[in-house]
Amino acid sequence: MSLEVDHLTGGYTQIPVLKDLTFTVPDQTVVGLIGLNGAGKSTTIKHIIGILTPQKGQIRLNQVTLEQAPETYRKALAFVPETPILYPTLTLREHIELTIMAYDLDTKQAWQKAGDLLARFRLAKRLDWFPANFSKGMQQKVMIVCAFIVPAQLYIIDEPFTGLDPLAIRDLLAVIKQQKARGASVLMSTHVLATAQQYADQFILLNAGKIQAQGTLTQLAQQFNVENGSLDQIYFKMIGEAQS
Amino acid sequence: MKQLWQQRLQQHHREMLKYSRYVFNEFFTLALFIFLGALAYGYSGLLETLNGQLWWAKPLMLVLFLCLLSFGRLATLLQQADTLFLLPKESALLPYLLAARRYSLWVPLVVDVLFFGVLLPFQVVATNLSASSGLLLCLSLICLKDGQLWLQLLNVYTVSLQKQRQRGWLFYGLAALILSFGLWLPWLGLGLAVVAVTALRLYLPHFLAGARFQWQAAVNNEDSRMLQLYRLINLFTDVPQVRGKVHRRVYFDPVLKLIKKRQRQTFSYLYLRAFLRGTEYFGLYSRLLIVGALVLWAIPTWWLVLVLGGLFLYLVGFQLLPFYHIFDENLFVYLYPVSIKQRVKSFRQLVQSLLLVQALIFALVTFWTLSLTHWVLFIGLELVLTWWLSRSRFMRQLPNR
Repeated sequence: MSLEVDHLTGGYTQIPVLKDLTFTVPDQTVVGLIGLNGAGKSTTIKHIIGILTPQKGQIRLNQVTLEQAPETYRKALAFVPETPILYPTLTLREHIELTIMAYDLDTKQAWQKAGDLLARFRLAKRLDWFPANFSKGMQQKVMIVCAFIVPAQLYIIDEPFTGLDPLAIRDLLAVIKQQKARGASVLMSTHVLATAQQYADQFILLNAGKIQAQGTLTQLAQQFNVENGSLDQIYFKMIGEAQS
Repeated sequence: MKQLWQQRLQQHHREMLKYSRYVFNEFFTLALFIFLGALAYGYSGLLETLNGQLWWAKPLMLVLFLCLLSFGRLATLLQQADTLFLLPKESALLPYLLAARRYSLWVPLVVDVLFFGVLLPFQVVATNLSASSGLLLCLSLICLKDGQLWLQLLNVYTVSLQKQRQRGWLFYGLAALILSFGLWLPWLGLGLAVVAVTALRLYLPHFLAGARFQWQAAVNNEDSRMLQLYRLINLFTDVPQVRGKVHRRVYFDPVLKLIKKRQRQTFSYLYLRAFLRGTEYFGLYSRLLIVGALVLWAIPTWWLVLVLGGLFLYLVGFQLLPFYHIFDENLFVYLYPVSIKQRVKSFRQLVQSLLLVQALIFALVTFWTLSLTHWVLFIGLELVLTWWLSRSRFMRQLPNR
């Protein structure tokens, strides 16, 4: 099991945003975290990456919690944020170098991987530029490159499909597939249901801080009585049920 | 649109009032008075040593006039969001800009009058011009400033950058010519200035007809103008708008290479780059370093050099402490599998190296002014202080985990 979230209750203040979430992300699985704005997707992610502490419950990554072994936990995780976060004083090359240093990666291997990714995302010629001055889409590609040179067990991608051009989306999905084949898993939050339906193996439908449903597309279709339904249809049905 | 201008102006005044409270605090006002008093004393002393007319007085005045002319830009108070929200009001923008131009004249006006007031004694002593001629010169300069602001208004309606530059050169050439005439025959100077500005004023509608307002350029101009102002204020208090600019500074690359690419050096790698390529802390450090070196070089008393040398070391180190938090807003710093202990250690090493560099430069400067025994004493004190400050004193201010 890559990730196990066990009865997680948490949020920013005493009033919890997330209420008793329990789910898992098995090895070699892409899980889509689906929910409206404000449903608690980003808060869930913040708890998993460890910048918020659970009020109740546990989060285990490769069988360890952040408290038990912070460095092991952090090494098993790579994160692509929704809004790019960059160092204004570092060039693209230095962002990659820094990632290699911070995660203690083998320089030669990591650079080989970085070279592949840079070529794939058409960034190879920009190595000595400051990514802080790039366009938003290109900054997002930088974040993707930096995340995927880390051989993590779990990749967390927050809203990957907005802001990227169609070529980049295709390339990102290819990279995800590669990582899956290697044995890693991916948790991604998104609003783009059509793409999520195609590329995720399982889904977690969040609403108002609670899990409304989870499982594969077929399981969800059964649960909501939508035969051969698309994720869109299932999702709207769920929202309808939750509101009534 | 006139209303919008009034609103913006009020906002601007409120903001400036807020900052002026920080800038003109008691300490600074006192220091300013003492400084101005000293300056006035020095000036009057200088005037006494001058006897009779000086050949260089008029050329010097001309240069000063031209410098003064470059002070004060068209303040439009436009904001980035205006390029979106005011777009439908483009044709109604001219009254707004006219009001802005009129307002922009006030600050240069006051500065010019003050400047002429200060210059008057010098002018009377060193040239053949009377006090009333000074008044005429002052009026010509204000007249030219008015013309320059009209030109700047025209520039926000001009696409070609080359044309703007040409106009700028033409203006300064003409201004130099008119002011030269003015220094010779003040009445003639004023007359020429009035004629030139009136001509420009009459031609302006012709230039503006059919011209499009250059939104992006105008907003960028205003941004850079405000940034200058904020930078000035930033010397006294923190201004959120002054986000440090980044310079590549290739010449520091050999220094950057000193950091080995290992996991435990992660934060050294980050801190050193942020320091050497940023402006804020780098500027602070180098300014204090230069001021300190000059002070130590100028002071003849050996024990005072020792005391001040130590004081400067402490001051610089203390100012550097908030730099520890420079990455606090970057989420990734918390995700790296690197402990806080390593981060603190990296920061300590940075502070230590910077203080060491400072101590060495101070030692180099004082080598020429101190006797050998005192110099050895000085360098010993600096080294001990560097060690104590970075190892113990400052560590108390950092997270200890």
